[in-house]
Amino acid sequence: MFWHLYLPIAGSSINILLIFFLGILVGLLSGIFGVGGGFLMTPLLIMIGIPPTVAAASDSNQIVGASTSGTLAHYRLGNVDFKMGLLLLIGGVAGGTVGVQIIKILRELGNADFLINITYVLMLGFVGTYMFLESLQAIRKKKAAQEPPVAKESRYARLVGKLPWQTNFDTSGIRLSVLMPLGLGVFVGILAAIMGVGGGFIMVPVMVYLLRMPMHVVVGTSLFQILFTCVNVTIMQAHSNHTVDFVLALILLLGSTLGAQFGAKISKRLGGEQLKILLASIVLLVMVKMLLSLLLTPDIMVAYKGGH
Amino acid sequence: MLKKTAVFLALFFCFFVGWPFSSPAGGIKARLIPEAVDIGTFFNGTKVYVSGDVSRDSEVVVRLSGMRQDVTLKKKGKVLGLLWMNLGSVTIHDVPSMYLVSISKDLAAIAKTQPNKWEELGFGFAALEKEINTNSAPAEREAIFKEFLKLKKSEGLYALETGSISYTEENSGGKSFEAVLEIPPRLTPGKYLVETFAVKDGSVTASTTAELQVKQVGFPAFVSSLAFKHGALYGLLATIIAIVAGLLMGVIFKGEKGAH
Repeated sequence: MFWHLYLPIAGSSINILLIFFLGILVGLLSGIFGVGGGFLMTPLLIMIGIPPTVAAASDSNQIVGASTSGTLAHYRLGNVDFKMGLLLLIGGVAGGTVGVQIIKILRELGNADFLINITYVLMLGFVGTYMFLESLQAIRKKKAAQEPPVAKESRYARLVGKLPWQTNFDTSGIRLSVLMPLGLGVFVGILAAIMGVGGGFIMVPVMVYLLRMPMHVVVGTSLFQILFTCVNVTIMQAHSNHTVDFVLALILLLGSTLGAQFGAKISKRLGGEQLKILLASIVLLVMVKMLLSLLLTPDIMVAYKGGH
Repeated sequence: MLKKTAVFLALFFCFFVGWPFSSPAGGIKARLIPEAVDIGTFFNGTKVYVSGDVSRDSEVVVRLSGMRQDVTLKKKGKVLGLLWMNLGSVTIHDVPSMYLVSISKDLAAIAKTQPNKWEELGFGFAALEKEINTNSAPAEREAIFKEFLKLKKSEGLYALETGSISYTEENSGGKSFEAVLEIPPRLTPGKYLVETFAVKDGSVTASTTAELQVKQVGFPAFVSSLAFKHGALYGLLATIIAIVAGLLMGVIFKGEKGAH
């Protein structure tokens, strides 16, 4: 009987062990890939009967713990670029504010759900496919010939090089304009707000492909950035919607902080390309699941209002 | 043991205080055990017993219903003839948050073989459907209610609990009944209504009503009141605890490393 706990805000009881293992699983993902795991956890919580709004808000509370744990572990491994993280964060907050307004307008127009779902599937499909193919190519190349990669100047690199306020990012070992992380932060912030997620799985590819940061630094920096985003979301949700279930978050936390520590160690052991392929596979899997839920006839044709 | 003591006390009362206990012709008496449900930390659903006496030729129906409120639902529909999405919403007015109906095996058999006869009594879901209103088009109403029922049943909040009433034959003309109401884990605090009906020849001959108080106690009550009364503080505390937990786990793991 002690394996069940009553969740005061969700208004139902849950199995402690089940939630604990869900926490470990998502913590692992977050430590390995630098994603919050909200895109995985929230649907899982809804599946076991937690109301959608409570699931999303409590999950962001849990991500605060997991990303603190993960950031600390990656910081010790020298994998957090604080300068880059802060600039992305400032952009992200600005973008999030804009995104919330866009959602408001879309809801008034009446087909917000349609746009959100389509954005979700397209984004996941595009990002997942691109990452998967790119990493596969890189691994093949490496096997074919051990030649050092020729630093060829693409049009994109030349364009980025012309932007003002160039500065060194020592941890990442790159030189970039300050405008790049700020602008991309805004872009991810808008998308994340529209889709109602933390945005880790968009942020990671953005850092890898558009900021050209090394994969291991990407993971640590992404976690650092997610930590602040989720602190903000948790306090806002608790204040205005009363949807944070602390009991639920606490059990998830115990699992996810543990998982994040192991995840960081696994991440160090895997190669950058392997990491990318794994993450791409997970992203594609979520996309397929999402697409199926859109294509298959639902069991029940109505749902409670709230959440996506 | 408890039941025997209860029966003894009841008889004791009849004898000395002189309640018309042995001749409930047309009347019905029922009592709830427990009269209130406390939701504590380890709450995982519970049972509420309703017992009493009724005339021998009557059947008993016990109905527990939650507070009536408007519920807004999102409707799912097809977009471009292909994709299932939430399309618009519909509000159902004054539906009970919970609706549990407890009946005996005999009555359950009738409900199964002669659904019309059962529904005429007015305790089934069809009877509930007649009571409520929606803001949807009349043509859509039936389908909406059907899906709403599916949703509530999947949560365990609406149920027809068949065979959950048992009878024990007793004194002249009367019999005792006991109904067991299975209260699901998904329980929200508030006042719940427990109605007990005596049914004879297809119509209700007597009824009695009791109130079941449900409240949160202990840790859940503390968390709830903090969350709803001091939302910002609660959110702040929740994040601080999360951060401390994350740091603590980091420290524990570093300690482990040092030991190697």
